[in-house]
Amino acid sequence: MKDKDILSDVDRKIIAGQGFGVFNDPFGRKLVQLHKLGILDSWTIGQINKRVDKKLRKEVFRGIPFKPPQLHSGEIILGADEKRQPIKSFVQYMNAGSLLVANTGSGKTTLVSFYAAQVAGLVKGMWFVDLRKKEFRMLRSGFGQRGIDLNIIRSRKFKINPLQVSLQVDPYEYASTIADVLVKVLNLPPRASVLLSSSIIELYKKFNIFDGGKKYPTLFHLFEAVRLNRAANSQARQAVLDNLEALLLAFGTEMLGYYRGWEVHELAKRHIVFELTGQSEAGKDLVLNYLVAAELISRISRGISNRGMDLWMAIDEGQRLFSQRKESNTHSGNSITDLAGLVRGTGAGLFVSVLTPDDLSNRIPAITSTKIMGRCGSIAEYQAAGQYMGLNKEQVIWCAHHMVPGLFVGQVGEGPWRYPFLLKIPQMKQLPVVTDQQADESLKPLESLTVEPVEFSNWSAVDCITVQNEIEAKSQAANQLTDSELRLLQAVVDNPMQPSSSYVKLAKISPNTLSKLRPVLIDRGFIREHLMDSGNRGRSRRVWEPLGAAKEIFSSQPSERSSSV
Amino acid sequence: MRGEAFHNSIVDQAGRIFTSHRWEVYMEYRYPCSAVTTYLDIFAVRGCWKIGCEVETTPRHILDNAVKAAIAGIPLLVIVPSRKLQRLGRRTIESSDIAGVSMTKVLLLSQLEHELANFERERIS
Repeated sequence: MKDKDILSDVDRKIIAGQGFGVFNDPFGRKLVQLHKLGILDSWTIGQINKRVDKKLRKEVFRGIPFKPPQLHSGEIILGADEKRQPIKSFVQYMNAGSLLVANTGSGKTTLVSFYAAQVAGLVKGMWFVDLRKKEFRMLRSGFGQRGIDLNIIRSRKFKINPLQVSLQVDPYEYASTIADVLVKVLNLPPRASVLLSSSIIELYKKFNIFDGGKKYPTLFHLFEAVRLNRAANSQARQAVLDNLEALLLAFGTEMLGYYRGWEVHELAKRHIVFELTGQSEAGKDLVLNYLVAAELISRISRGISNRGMDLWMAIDEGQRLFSQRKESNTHSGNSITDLAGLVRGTGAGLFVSVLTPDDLSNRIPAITSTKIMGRCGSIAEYQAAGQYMGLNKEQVIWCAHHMVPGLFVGQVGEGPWRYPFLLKIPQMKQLPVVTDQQADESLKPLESLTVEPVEFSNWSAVDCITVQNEIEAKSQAANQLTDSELRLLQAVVDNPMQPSSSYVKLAKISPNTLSKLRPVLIDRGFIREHLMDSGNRGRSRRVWEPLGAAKEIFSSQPSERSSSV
Repeated sequence: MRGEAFHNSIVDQAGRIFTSHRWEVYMEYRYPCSAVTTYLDIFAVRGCWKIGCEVETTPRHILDNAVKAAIAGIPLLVIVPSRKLQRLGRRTIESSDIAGVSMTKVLLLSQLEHELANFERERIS
């Protein structure tokens, strides 16, 4: 039986009215209640008709085939509706991933910046990935005014070691994960995965990583290990050498030559712009895959599951990164699209913006729940992007004729109201330009992160690398210290974070000697000094923290230690 | 503890001060409230009183912490190592027009004891 047979006119009015939300006020709810109870006298029917007809007439004259958004609560403003009222959303809605499709000049970066400015204060870490341009760096001054330090890492300023095991991750587990990532990033045959995985495990054994060692092999060590492994499958070996060599030569030791690079879980607590402009596609893939994989695997190992978002990652111009063609042409698919599916559960939100839905990986719309569409170039693109959020034909045609820069169609990923709606983004004021020099200065806070560079003697893909012997280096450093320097250093290592004056007694040296040794130990990277004010007046206390180099000297056998001091 | 050595050392000292004032201290405490989950370096409880405490060695997160604490509805003490940072932190909070952040106080470690005594006195009176 069809609906029109069983529904009366009033029923249809009630259904239409509920769709428009005209019965959401207390009186409206009473009218619905009366209808349910069958109390339909002429006055009640008149009231229902009046309300619904008024709304219907308004809708006809409104000329927009989208429902007015019913999103009135949340911490962030998604944009303004046609009446310039704010459309709000909870920041946690962004945890489930967001996709923005809009062609060039339609306000993609403005929209991401508008959201970023609001989300910045609500999450612990924020990563902006500029794959093609250098626009996110301009947010630095705005963030600074709100007390948030935005660090800008230019494409050649990274200090990473993809073989560095993430926080609380089992080295065996990490070895196989990073081997898979390298296979996908370098587009290696599947057999290379086994070779890489076994080579990494061998290197970890050599570097005592399984016994808690913190000095990790680098990709240069991996290259050498594979090069010297002549018994390995020749095709897999050659593929690894060819692809890895190109990457190592492009990045060089300045970016990848670190026993310990920046720890990714530390980066995840900061607001950072990663500028990958100028890197090769494989280079971009490697950096992004390493950062995302290392952080996710660490979060999974730490048992983080289904918690609120504390890291927001915005990837601008991700067209080539999430390319369907690239995914189907490679041996084992695209690593980052595999990882993107995991981000929500681990408290990391992903915001991907692309120019066109054409050639976009099928997985991206599937794993992002919040969708936003801006001005596109053709009807086919509107249709494809419209499909992601369930637009009907009328809505797609309307978009093709009415979308302008700054106007978007959105659909939130969670909450009770998930219809597509129109939103307008305010125009961004002209932001101050951030020069490369200023960008590099913004990296100063990252200097506090422990980084241990490798001493290579002119690495090349042909010659073997020479890595300084760890024990030799340790004894060399210890031999270069005088007796009083060693005593003071040991006192600092044994009693960290004490005021400098207390080390006179602990190291049994004179105050004069202490003041002479202080700059020497700081300059040589053995200790770091922190100033600590004790009250409203008076001189600051100087608190000393032993650094890795100092700890390493005393990490040898106790007998050696006592004989050297 | 997730911070750097200097940060962790201040957290330890602050924790000891709270304990000496008979507060029950929880380090790295996960405090979920409505849509926001706040991680506090120290979450101190004494009877029905609750205080959050964050140690900041840079001005970067002072305002974020204040906003989170305001959303969670708990008073927050931000402990900083230097007077300069204290001034900067106070100014950041005062200049923000976000409701509720005024519940946050930026203190030096040496001022924590006095602040706790004041807090207890105010609550009792």
